[in-house]
Amino acid sequence: MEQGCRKRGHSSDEDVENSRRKRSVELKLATVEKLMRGLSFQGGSSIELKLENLSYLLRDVCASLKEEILCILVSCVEEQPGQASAYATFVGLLNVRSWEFGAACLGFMVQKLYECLCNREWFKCQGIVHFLVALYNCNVVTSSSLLKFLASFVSECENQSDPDDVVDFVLQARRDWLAYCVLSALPFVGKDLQQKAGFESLMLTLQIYVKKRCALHTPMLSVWRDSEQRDHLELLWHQVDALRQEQWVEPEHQLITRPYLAFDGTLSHAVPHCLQDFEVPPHEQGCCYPPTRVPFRIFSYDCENLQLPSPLSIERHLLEVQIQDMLQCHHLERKICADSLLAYAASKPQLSVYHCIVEVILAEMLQLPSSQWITLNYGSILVELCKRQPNKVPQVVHQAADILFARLDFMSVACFDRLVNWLSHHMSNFGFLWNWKKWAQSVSFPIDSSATNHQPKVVFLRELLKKCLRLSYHQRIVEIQPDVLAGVLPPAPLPHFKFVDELLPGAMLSKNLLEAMRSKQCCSEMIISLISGSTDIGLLLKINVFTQNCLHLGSKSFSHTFAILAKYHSVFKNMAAGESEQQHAILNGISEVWVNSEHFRFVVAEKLLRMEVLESRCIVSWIFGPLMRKELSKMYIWELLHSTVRWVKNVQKRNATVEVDGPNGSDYVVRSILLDILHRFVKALRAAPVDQERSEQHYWFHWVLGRLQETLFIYADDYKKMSCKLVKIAGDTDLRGDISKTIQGFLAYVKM
Amino acid sequence: MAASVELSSYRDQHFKGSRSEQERSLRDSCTLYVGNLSFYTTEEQIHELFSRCGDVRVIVMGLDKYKKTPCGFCFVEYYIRSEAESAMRFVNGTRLDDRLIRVDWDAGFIEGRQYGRGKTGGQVRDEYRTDYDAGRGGYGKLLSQKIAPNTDNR
Repeated sequence: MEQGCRKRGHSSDEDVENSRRKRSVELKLATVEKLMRGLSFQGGSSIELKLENLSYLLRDVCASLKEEILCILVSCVEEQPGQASAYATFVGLLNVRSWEFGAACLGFMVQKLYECLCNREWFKCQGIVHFLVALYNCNVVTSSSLLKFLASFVSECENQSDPDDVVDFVLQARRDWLAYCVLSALPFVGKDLQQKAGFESLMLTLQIYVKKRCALHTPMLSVWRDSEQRDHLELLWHQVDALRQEQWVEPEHQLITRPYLAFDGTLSHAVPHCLQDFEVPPHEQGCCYPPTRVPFRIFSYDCENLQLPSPLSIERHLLEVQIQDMLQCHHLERKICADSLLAYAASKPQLSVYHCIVEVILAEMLQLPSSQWITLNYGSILVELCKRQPNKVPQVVHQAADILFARLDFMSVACFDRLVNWLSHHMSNFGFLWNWKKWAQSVSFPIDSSATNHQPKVVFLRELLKKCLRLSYHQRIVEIQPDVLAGVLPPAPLPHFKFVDELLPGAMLSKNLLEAMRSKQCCSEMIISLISGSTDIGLLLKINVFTQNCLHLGSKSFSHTFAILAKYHSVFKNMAAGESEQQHAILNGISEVWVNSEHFRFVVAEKLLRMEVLESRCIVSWIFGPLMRKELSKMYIWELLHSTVRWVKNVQKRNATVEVDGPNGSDYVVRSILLDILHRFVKALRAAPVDQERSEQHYWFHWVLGRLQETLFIYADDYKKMSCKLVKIAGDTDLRGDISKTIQGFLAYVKM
Repeated sequence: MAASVELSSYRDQHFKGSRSEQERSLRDSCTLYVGNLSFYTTEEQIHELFSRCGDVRVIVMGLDKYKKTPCGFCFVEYYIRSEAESAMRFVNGTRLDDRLIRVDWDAGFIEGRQYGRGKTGGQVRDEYRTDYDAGRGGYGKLLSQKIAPNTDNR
């Protein structure tokens, strides 16, 4: 008994000791992780000092914590391709002390690379490739094995001719990505590798590939219509080639951190490893590769006083990539994101990094065919940057917005809404302080709301103020803007009820309905009998009267409106079910009451769609109907169109989880509405008279054509499946060149 | 720094259920509580701002229990959780009507919760405030009762 006790006591001592050891290991590991992640943060003490600290901390635990360290390492490397040098130096220093660790690290990383390729985690793959390349600088891998590795990575680019001379765009996207991966890593090592056997042939492979590949998609994806843009691979080739012509001499701003240089003596003691043979897993059916991008710049047009590397130099690429990586890594946490961007800017005072940050964020936001994240994500990061660095960032944001405004005539319509939404939100966060006068004065003609003015700058100012109004209130918007803008000032968003005029047809019914609806006992049956009892007017007018009455009574707020619509749901259904004309009458009624509020017009129509009073096809036919022609240059119409399609898609998605997808399944419904939209676009554009440049007709045509392109972009995956139909439409010989060019450009793009 | 979509430390004391049930419903919720609004901010403004994160299902304006006027908060419900998360990330702590608004998870709207829980009908925080806040009815209710001019004619 006693013995047992003692034994137990003894073992508990051991447990305590064990758990204490375990805890201390955990603590140490947490510190190591923190320090390792800190290597990629561009602030605080120098990278060399951080590396020294870390390597001191790990001097005796390197072997015992090997697996844990490698796991942390791979996650750092995957997230921060731009910090490859720092992590490579870290491994280089450990490798000097333990050759086994170096070997294990290489094996582990190559294995991870293979896994990431199979899992299609392209961003992570790129990080690992950059890291492996940077290991050469730190004397961890041999030059010959690295070159062999890189050559195997781009081997598919060597014989790029597809069978039957038809370009397989999926395979091109794959080769593009492989080439980009290697090309973007070369600035790390070009200087030391250029003399090595195999380097020239690697460069030649890339050069021939970039030259021969098909780049038909580029014009379609260019944000600026007036200048030729290159896609990202072509641009990078030019940047790397320029560096090669300088014999890979380190560019002046040293944007690649090379912390290993400080440890040159130590690192030279190591014996480098051979990187094992590697083969990229083959393409699998259905695999998608990163989409092609056409970089877009703001400041290259007006950056005389800026310290920014030329757009064709590798330094511009390095700067942009750093910023893009930080966004990629932290975009969901706007404060952390802003902190790391600002720390980066502070670490490079000799360059106009703030300009580059703002440019990269706006370019990502306006990216064609679509941005990666919602507009508000980019906007919230910009707001955070402005708040944290109020003496530097807001000025740059203003400057960028000025340039975008000045160049609106040449900007693709497909990014117009994103620009307006961003700027209205940004302004709302900074009290709408803006140099409105300057913008108003730059418009060289009188701004008048009564004329249908479709000039891009006027449309922009008008829509921007409307969006500001939605986030604010009328008096506030009146106060912020100068008189010169009075012509584009949106009206106060008040309801208009025309049936107060008792002489109007329908006024009698309206009066009776109002009286009934105001009484507490009113129910749907009473309303229906009142409506059917009035025999002097037609059904469409009755619907119009009823709709206007409802909206008039519920005009106090969205909630009031929704409540009354819900109350008389069955009346609406009863009058409008299945019939386009009747549903159009409801939509026209909404437009009349809310003649002064496009916000209400949009939200009420959207609500009636969700209540299944309005059908999606009827909304589409109404939007493209004769009454709305002039409205097509306004944003709310497109908000309604896309909200409608989104709704259809969501409903179908919900249904698809219950039903088995047949030939008439969810795809069919979505496709038929999208095809209907496309046909209506073409019809509307075709009916537009051809007019000279700078005429109202001409502007209208370009707005709507741009909206067609935007629509194709938003539903690219769906339209891609209907390529045959698109080919047929675009091939119509009567079609105006611009229309078929837009559709054909899209077809070239979706093949990617 | 805690991720912006994490639950805050606030827990509704009127929740019917255990603390862990409450946390579970907060983690699955598509509903947000929005606070520090101006009394003058309208449902339409809120709709516009929150729609930028996704389709809004419903907005319930917070009202003064007695006056039935907006008292500076509301509930916003989305169809999809991820869109509510976007609002937590990108709207919380930004401005609406020149005020920094607060966005937090809510376990879901229940009838009755639209009313202020303060004695005077508004939100409790507006009773004890000692600062002057023009967007929320001036001084706190208790303080303004003290400093109100004596209208007693006797």
